[in-house]
Amino acid sequence: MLESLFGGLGTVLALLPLLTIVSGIVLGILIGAMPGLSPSMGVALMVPFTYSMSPTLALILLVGIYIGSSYGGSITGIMVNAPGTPSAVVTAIDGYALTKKGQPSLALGTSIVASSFGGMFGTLILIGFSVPLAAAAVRFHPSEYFAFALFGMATIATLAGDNWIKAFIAMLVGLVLATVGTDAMSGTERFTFDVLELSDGFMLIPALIGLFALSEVFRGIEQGDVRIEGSGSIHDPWPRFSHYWKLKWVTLRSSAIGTLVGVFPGAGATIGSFISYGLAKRFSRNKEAFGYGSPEGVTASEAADSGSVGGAMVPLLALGIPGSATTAVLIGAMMIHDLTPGPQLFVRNPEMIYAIFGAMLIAQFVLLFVGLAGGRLWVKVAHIPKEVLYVLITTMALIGAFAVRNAMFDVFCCVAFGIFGWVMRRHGFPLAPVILGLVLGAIAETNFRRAIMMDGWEVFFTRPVTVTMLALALLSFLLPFMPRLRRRRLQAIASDRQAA
Amino acid sequence: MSSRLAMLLSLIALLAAATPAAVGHGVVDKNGLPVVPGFPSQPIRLVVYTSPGGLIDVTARRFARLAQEHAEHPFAVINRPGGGGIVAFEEALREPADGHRFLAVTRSNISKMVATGREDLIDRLHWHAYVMDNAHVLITNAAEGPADWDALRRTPGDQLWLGVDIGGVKHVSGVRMAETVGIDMRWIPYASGGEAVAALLGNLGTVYLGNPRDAQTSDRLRIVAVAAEQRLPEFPDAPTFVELGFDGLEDELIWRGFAFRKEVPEPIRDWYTAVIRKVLDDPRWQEAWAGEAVNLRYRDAEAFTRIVERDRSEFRTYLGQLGLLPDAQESHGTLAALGRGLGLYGAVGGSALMLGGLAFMLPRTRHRQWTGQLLLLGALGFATVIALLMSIHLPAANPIDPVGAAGIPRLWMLLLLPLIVLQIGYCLRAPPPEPETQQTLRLLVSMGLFIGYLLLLPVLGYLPATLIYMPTLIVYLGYRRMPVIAAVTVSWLLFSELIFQRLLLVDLPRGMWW
Repeated sequence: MLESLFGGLGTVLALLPLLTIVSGIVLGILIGAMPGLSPSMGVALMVPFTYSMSPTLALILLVGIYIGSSYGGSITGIMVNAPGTPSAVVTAIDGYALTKKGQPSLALGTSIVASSFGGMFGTLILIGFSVPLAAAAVRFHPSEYFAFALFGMATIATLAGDNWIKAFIAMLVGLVLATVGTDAMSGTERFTFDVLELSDGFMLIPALIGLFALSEVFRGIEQGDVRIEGSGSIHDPWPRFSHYWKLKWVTLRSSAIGTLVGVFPGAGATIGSFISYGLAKRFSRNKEAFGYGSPEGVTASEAADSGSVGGAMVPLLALGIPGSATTAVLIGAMMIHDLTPGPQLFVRNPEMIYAIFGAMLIAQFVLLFVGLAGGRLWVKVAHIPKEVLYVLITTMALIGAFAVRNAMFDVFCCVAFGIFGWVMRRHGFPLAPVILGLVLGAIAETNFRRAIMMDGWEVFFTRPVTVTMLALALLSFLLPFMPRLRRRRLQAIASDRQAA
Repeated sequence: MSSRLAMLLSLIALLAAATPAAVGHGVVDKNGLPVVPGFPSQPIRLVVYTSPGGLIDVTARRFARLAQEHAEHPFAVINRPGGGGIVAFEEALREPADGHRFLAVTRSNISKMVATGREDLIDRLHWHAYVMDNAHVLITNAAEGPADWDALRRTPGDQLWLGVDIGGVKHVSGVRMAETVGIDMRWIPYASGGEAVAALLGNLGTVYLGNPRDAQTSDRLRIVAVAAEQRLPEFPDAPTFVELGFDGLEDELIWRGFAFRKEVPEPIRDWYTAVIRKVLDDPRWQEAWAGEAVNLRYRDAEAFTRIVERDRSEFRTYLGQLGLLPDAQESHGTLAALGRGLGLYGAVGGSALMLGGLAFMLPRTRHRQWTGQLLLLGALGFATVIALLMSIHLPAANPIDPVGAAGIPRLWMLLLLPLIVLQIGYCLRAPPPEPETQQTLRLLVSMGLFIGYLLLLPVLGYLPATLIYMPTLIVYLGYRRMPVIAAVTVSWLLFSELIFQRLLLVDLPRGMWW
């Protein structure tokens, strides 16, 4: 295999493939950074440009765009709290907090290195273990997907901070909103008020743009916030190697989580980001910094997000099954180039498979280089007068929401989410749990019902993997509350003693 | 392209239609396509009703790639997912009938239109060309599950048939197949064919009903029955239902084709016919589909329309039997009436009145500092109660789906309500929060400008409306360096037009004149 891999690397270490990788990464970063253009839309938009290319070059370009756009979503999340992708929501929590503290370079530097490392980790796992991992992934019962979703929801306990009631309310609002649209298991329309555009539920991208970007603009205007806190007064150097070294374990753990979650078809990068963020906080010595600008938080989310790219490629290459929305487009692109995705690719076009592996490895270095170079440019966003930036964000939000389906309905939904997000923010309700609920609601519900339809209620008690995962999810919900309960008990004992 | 220009072009096209001399006597261009004055004058958009990826998307992209060459004119595939095609069709019907937008359609669209009570769309579209179909097949995991048809029939108890889409074309096929061959099955819908195939590979179901190419995913998968008259050349070992002794399933297939607005003029339709025929005759088109068990067969508009009508009638029957037609899905009764129609309007109106009352009273109490949060919690609470009422008319749980469509939404709502009450209690007990310095008027005016801009878009179009909006809001927010404002506005407009509209073909909102 090593020989084939070196062969693949040799194929891509030529001028044209290298230029293709660089173009893919740059385009991907720009696409990911535009709120509204998701990685899958970005790859789909670029497919026609590959018609005249050889299949290998075409796939290298599209995979480069996939890798670049998975990272690019974090840039706007960090700089203006407008995450370009759902998984970047988690990055924005601490990334934007760092920017507000006048440390965007720290956030961007941490994010790009974590992203690049996560991508590298995911690619190596893809190269080494794609076949056994894919074989294990297909055995996952819907009950285990349900447990997975619960595990993701358990992050709420971490995101909650001091006011867990507000965080739970926010997540439940997201979960209720996720039930709007056609019920996948019965075909019934739920809570759509006969509005056609709601038949598929709320589109995630307009909701994301509204909740984060627009609400941030509204809040900023309301507070008369025209300058970044501490801008110009706080020293914000680009992080040094020692900074990244301190984050090595969280990077490694999050990359592994992202990759593993990415392997399961339909699970997606967002669950990976939330789970690894939750675990990073749990294992951190500096838990209090999470939510207020923790580089560990940025690392956890970004490494998992990029790791999931390699993970999602596992079922695609090993089985020809898409692991994510973007890999579904890649399968389409393969077919357009007359390739049959799946295990037969290893037999019929092994040189191409290893060229893709090689390109994915090189792409991580290119991403690191382009990201570090571009980061210095992105930092300048912080110097754009807020009055101008706010107006630009609103027009970007409009195009982003409109581009999803060419529908003004989505734009108005985006504005409604923006106003809702502004009101929530104004009263101290966190917004990330709303997205957590919106993303995980459908996964949890459909898999819960599918599991029961297939094997009855007992499936949740009889499958060892399900039982273990459900127990872990339950523990994840409860553990963060334990210290708080202990503290309260100690306080009660202390006050009793005082009274005595 | 402005809509005015588009209207002008369609007028020209109509005039051309009225002038047989222009096109009626076989005037063709250098590509052998009928000459239609003024058409095509902009990139042609082939609309796919699903997200990128998937077979219809691949079909459209393969077609667009070759059509572009034969017509020497750009063809762009755009995805408009939503409502199983209804969103895409509604949009196409709103666009001018100038022929620059046509739709990639499948048999699934018919089942969706029937299932959602939108059969009017079937009548408003011109079903122009049927270009291919493939038989539905039953696939098993031969390594761990039934290895052949006999083994499948011997599998005891309710079989788990994996597939996609409740009420979709494959579900209906599955019901027909199971009924015909006398198997008891439970349909387990997955979000995509890929996920269902993965579940079959994990031996989580008995059989998967899909397209023949799905069986190529793994050596472990085997087609055990084909819904076609003859065996598929790509799968010579797979028997047909006819061979297995079951007639009447030969038409259980998925077809793909093209459609557009009925009002598109005849000459433009002829132009499309010529392009489609050229692509279908292109050896590259045939090679691209070789090995995928697809029947490439062309049927003209007349034959295609007959097929659509036959499918419509069949779906009415089967979806009716499954209880998936709109009327059959709703629960009836006094309580259910509260969740819809006048009951629903009453609940919404009553909630709005109560919120208004709270908004009036709260600032006059000692809890005035909590007014905003209490109103937010009140609104969430009322909305949750209304949604709970609405959930009453959702279909009840049943033995196949013991949770039912209402189960999970109700669970979330019943968890949400006590938390809202708890938070309200906290607000009423806690000391008032520190008041923040806020520029509420500034925000409300800015929001008003933004919403005004959005309302102007359908009238003026993106470019003129943005040209007014951007400088206005920037100046209102207090930034007064005019050259910078002008540069930012112009750069953004250029960026939007060149990158989104021209390069990525992401349409920007169009106005009545622009």
